[in-house]
Amino acid sequence: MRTHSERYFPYVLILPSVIGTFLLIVFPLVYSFFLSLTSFHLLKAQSLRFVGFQNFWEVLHDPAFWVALKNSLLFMVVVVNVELVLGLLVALLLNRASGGQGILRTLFMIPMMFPPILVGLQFRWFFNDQFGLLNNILLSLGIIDRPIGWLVRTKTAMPAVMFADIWQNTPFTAVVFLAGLLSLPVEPLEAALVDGASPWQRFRYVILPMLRPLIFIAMTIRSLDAGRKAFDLIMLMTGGGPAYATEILGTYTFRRAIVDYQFAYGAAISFIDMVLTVGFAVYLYRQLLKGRT
Amino acid sequence: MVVRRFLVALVVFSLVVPFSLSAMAQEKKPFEGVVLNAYFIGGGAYEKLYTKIPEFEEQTGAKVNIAAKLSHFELNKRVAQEFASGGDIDVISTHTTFAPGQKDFLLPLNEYLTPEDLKDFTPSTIEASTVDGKLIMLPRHTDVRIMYYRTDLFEDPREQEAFKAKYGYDLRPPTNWQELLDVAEFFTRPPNLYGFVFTGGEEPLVGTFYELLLSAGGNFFDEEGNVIFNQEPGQKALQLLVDLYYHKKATPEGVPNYRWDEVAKAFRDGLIAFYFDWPGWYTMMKDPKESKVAGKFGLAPYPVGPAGYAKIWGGSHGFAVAKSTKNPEAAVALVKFLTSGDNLYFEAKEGGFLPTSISAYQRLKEDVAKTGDPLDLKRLELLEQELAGFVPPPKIPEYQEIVSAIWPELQKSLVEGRDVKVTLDIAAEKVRKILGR
Repeated sequence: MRTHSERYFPYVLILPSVIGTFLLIVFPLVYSFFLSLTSFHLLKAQSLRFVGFQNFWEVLHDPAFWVALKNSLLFMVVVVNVELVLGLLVALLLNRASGGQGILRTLFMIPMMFPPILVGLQFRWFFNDQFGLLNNILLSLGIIDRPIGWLVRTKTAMPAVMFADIWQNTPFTAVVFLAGLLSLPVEPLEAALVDGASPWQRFRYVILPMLRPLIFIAMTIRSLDAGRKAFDLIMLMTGGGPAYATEILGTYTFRRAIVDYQFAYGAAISFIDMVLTVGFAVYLYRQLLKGRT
Repeated sequence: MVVRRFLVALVVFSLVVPFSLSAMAQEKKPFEGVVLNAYFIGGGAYEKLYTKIPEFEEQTGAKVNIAAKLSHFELNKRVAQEFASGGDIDVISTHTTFAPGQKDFLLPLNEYLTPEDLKDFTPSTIEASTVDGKLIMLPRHTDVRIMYYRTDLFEDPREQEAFKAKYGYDLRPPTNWQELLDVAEFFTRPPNLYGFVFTGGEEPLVGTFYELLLSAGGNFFDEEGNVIFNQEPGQKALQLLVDLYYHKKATPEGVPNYRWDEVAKAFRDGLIAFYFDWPGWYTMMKDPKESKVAGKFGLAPYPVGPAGYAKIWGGSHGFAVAKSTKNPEAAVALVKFLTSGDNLYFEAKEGGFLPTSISAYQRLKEDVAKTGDPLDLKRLELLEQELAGFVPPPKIPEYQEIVSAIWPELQKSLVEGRDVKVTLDIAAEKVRKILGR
């Protein structure tokens, strides 16, 4: 009897989380996959017909989808890389600060604490053509003579949104790297110092290799997160415009599924998005494991 | 003896009559015990009308449960979910732009109402609420745009002189598209003044394009349903916007990001010489605390387009009944009550709306003529003319999807100056695809 209950006890313990996972993740996933194989439109009666992979075929032939995918990749590559480099610089500087490190660290973390929706609003006004801070400064310094529509030019809208994202998320990478720097063993650094290594050599050949696992972790988290968090920023700052210039997969899915009520089409886009994201996550995870060995 | 009998009779009478009267009154309540679930548009001015609902409950015995009061976008999502899941939903707020998309789920009201019930509504609003011969909503108030212009600029003799010297004719609120371009260009003095402003993104952009398209003699579709907005009238319409924004730079550069709030704010802040907007902003524009142009603006009709007339895009807010309602008579009675002449007059007085009821409109004009300022009366008269001929967006369920597909293309011409024909051909192809599915 005892062995019997012992055998089943672990299963009983994990049962609640299995049920939770099933209800909150597996079921919606299966259901939305089922939806993506239909022609379901929320406002059309009897639209729940099985159409096979037609939605997927249409998504793959939809120019707006490819623009959104390209923008999502561009956004992710630029913001993640800039945030990593800036975060590392900030962490190195903070690590060397002789006094007030606690206050500085807290100050640097403030942008991270804002919800993205507030950051979006803040930068919508910051870049506003008539009332924005940026144009105001440039006009009063005489650098420009008429306001620039930062958020409505195809060439500046994406950089403006990226700027907002970098402002908000660099503190995250900085905090991760700072934690790493503070926990590094001192012996290798002292040995390098004794051997006469220059500051650059110490950074390049001692600190950086030791930080590598952390860099991969920060990169993985931010890469997977970049597109998700940018949704709020983009909806508030540009709404995906002008002319798709800042449309990413998240905003495009929202437009098709929620604004146009094309649930099936939206489900197909999110499924493609999910497959790409999972593939990317697996790749990053493998790189992370490689980095550790 | 006679007196005694009389007194007894009187006492008996006075006891019996109120009882029987109240019994009669109770019998009269036709919807006793009925509960109506309502999903309404929320927000300050919209909610004034709902304060009348207790009167309906008192008269009919029905109980109205307002299950949601939301912004229109949120409301539409919620209502769509309720429809799709077979929720308990009886009466909804809707709009001539959205109702065609919801028509599968709406009760045809013409089966419950007589022509007599509809005779107090402005005919154009009933027409806008009718899809495929079925009246799917009762209109409540209507939005049509009028021209707001700055009297301090247009009536300034120095401006008038300079304008005449440059363009060879007198300065006045533009009456056609050429004047519109000239006046907009003339008053553009960035960063503190621009000639014109318009809503340059999403549905507001498509609506603006649509009314220009109609004023150029075109339409989205011909009578057989073929896509024709990429033909010459469409090109002229889009070219006007591209000229204003891209070539002449006669609007603030942020226009592609401007929706209703931003254009109205730009005018209130004194940044704009003239533009088109909804009647609802009028009260705020006149308020010196909210507006730098209070006392310095006038109203004018739309300039006519190349077709020789001006068509004005508009829409009516209204109420509709869900097809799935268990109490259609009670639900229709509520919709009828909310859109009665008296209640629409009340709403117009309280919220500054443009009622769809002819009698309410007449009463408003009488009130204004007695006490108001001449601009108030002019506003009502101008709006009345426009109300008679306004055009709602195409009444097809796919309209929202079409809007989503074409506004980014229109913006491509605005912000990059892409050839209007190229843009409209791409947009037309997208629309054909949506309709063909």
